[in-house]
Amino acid sequence: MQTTELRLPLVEAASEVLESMCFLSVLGEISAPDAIDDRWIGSHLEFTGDQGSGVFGICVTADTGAIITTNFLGQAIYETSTAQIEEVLRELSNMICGSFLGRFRGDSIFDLASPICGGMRVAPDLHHGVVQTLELDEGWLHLWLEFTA
Amino acid sequence: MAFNVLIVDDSPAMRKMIRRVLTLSGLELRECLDAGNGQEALDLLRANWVDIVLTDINMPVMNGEQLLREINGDSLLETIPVLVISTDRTETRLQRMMALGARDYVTKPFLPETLGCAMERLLAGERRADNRA
Repeated sequence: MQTTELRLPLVEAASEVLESMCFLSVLGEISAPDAIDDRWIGSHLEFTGDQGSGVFGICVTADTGAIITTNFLGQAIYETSTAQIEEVLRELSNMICGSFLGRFRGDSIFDLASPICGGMRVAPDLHHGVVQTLELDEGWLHLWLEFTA
Repeated sequence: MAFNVLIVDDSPAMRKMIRRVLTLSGLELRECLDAGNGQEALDLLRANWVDIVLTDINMPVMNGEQLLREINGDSLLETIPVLVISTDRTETRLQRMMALGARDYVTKPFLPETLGCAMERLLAGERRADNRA
């Protein structure tokens, strides 16, 4: 499988979720951040299906996570806790992954495991996957996907 | 006419988000209950009058499919319309949930108006097989 096959549906899925649920636009792809440290917050999940399996993850800075969360929940930023940011990132990773799989393998059923926050599996050693960083109108979203057919 | 709604999702953030969407949709809500899984939902349904159930599929303890089976196997609950809200947009899953008795199916992510329109249709007694975003 070519990683280029994964890129377009992945960007489309992320754009759809961010625009409809968080009111954020994807401006385009940018190069990966120089360093991802403990100021970043991530969520990842595993999925399995009859046409493949894999792992999907997202990662944002704490500031971007707070913006995403306040937009998603419709509350002020001062009301937003770290726990809420992690909760929303889990939900976001679940939705982007589901949207991606529907686009990429819409004729198959996949079971998505519960997303896990932390454990910073950012840009792991991918053999069959892609890593992308998207510039948003407020911040960046770093995402990665490994898909094995 | 005001309605009682039950939101079933294991994510507190998603429950809060759906509640906000319903409030903004203009639907008149009397009470908005929420549950973190199908078993909690059943307990609430057996103790409260609810006009419509909105449920996720993948949840711990009791998932959305089991919840649908329980509702449709209970003569006191089977008339309550159930709207499934899920990240799974495959035709196979949609058909399976509709066969189990779901009245409608909305995929996440959804536009707020998509959910509002689906709710209005169900509360008006209509059923639609596919309004996925």
